[in-house]
Amino acid sequence: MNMDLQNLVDQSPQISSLPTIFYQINEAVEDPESSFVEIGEIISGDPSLSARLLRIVNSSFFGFPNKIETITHAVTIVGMAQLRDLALATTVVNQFKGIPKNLIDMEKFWLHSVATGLAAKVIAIYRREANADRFYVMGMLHDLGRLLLLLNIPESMKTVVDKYASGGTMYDVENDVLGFDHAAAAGQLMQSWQLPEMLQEAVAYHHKPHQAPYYPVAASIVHVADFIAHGMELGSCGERFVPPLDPKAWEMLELPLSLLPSILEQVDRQVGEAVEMFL
Amino acid sequence: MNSVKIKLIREGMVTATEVKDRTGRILLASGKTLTSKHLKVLKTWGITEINIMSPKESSSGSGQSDKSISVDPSIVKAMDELFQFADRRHPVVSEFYNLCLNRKVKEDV
Repeated sequence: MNMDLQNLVDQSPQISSLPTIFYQINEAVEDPESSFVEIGEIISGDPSLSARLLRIVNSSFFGFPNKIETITHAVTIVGMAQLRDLALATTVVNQFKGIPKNLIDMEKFWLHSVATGLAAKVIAIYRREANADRFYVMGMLHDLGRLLLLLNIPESMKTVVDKYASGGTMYDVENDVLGFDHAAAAGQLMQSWQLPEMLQEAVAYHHKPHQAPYYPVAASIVHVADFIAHGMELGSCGERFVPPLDPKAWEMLELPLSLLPSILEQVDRQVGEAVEMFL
Repeated sequence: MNSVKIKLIREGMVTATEVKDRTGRILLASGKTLTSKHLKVLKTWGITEINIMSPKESSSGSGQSDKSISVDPSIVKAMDELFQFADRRHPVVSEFYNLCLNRKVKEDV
């Protein structure tokens, strides 16, 4: 099955790897000797990426009181790891631009992704996780596998969609028809992009979080965030129903039920702006 | 003993259990009568709900008060369909369902 998935990812060279700039940023962030200025210079080498990042850090998503004019300033204020994660999110969105409209409504798809990302971030903040923006990225990318499947095996996905019309959840139908689902496909894609294992697992296991071998908490956060985004009917990833909630995933978060209203409130408040910012 | 949300906590209520923050540090002992100072401390430390002794004072979950309002049956039907694969016997799912339903009714108005 893994072999099949690898083939599937390799089929489209334009998405089987990320732009080199991302790896350069990543390398610099991982290098303890690199400075804010160096990272700023690498990012500034890509004007379109710089512009997108500046738009993000100047939005109410961060709510900094003063305007951030340069990437170097952004790095110092947002943090290196956070800026890398934001760069990843916007790079991936760019990577998947130009998917034909008849396959999937991309606006709705990204709305669902952004809403899931926001819910994941809010949950992560309540859990006092370090670098909550990382969880935003996980949520944002969790359904990427669906795009990969639609792009590379549209015929098989048509069978999936037809069969899905007669009932069940879409990922169950994917498993029936293809032998794997969009979560596993996304996991494989992240692996070939050499993204951190935590991200790979959180995405690959978002429908079965308790099975994640090393990062069940991250997978649970994405699982619950996905559940929330579906219930709030923000956007769509192709799935029309709220997926079942894994009770173990909720327990894993160790959050009181009374936080739920405020999670919803915050997602509602931020989602409009967040969508515009990333797309 | 009832778990009461911070918004509904008033002076004079009595804690039924120790109040701890997320790291397990004890903020208040069990059996304490709450004063305005305590409320301030609880809010400062981000406590969202605590266990309160007297059952008379207990308040209900957020969904309850809205149940008396009549809801357009077509909205309920759509919501039931949306949640058909989620197990609403689970407290989190049922609370979330109510929140989403309220949200949708408000949107509709």
